[in-house]
Amino acid sequence: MNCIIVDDQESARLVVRQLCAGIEDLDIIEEFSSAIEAIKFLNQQTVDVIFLDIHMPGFSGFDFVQTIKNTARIVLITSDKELAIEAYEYESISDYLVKPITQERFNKSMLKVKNTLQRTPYLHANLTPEQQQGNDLYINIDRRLTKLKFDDILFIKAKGDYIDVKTHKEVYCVHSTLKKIKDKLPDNIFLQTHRSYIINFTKIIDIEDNSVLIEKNVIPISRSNRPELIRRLNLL
Amino acid sequence: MKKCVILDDDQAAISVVEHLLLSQPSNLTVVATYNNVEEALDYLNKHSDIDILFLDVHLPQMSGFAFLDVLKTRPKVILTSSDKNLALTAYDFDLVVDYLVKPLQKDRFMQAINQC
Repeated sequence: MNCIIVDDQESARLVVRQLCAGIEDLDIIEEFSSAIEAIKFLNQQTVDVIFLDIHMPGFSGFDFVQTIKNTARIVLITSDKELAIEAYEYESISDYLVKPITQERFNKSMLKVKNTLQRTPYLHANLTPEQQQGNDLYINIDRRLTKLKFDDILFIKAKGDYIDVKTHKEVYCVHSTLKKIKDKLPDNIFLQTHRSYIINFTKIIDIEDNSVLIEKNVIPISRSNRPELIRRLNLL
Repeated sequence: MKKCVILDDDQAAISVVEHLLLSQPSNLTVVATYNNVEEALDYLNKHSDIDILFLDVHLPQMSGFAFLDVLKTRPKVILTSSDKNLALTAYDFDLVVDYLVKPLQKDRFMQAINQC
């Protein structure tokens, strides 16, 4: 696993470095004293783990979590015990470690992170907007960029930290969120019908009250999204 | 379908979780609910195929954390509590995927089950 450390204090970064040294397959690829620099870096590169301070000047760790487009697992490192409940609101946050941190607790944390990263066979999968162009989308599956034509995508389903991208032939499991992929898809053929589904509405076979049929898949439509779907269709 | 068990000493709290689970289409089904720690432990230790456990943190006989310490199977756990202050302790348990503060909010609840 590779990781970065984001903390404005040198002494705090040193502590994390020492803890990381106790983990065999963990490489620190960069350290940042500034959250902004770390964000710039993460826009270019994928990492597995981010060790993140909560209280940084001008930028909280939670602001940071909301800003980054990366799919890394985040481990918060802080002396503030009070924000654990807030941390649970962010799915990308794997752990919340309060200083002083024992090596034992740190090891346990890394085991947890590793298990999360390995939950599906497609490790490190990520959407890379830079490679996206024209009529297709590149998805990063197991460090291999696979091209999908927009028109081949039937629908996308949210599944925890992952999304399933369904085409006629295959289901691609990608480490991303519906919100992220929604921004990459042209809205002339894609529409969110439900909090867990985005569909290619040119592929609809028929529509019932609260579901649509695409190939053999029945996909739910929530009440609030139905009017927009009807509006988009060429109704007689 | 993913199988869920709910453990809470308050029957009303169990109903809230059941109601939220039924409020949207999902692949989750409630297979058992318990007010009593011992019965829940007995059931869970005999059923390793349970996917999700909704667990109240404050139970009369023992805490939710003590319950997780003696649990032999490994469901994903969503903790529920009106007490925010134990969220930090919850991070020490790798089975715990989320910690929801009562009264439960629908959006937040859906976010939790989507992680399971």
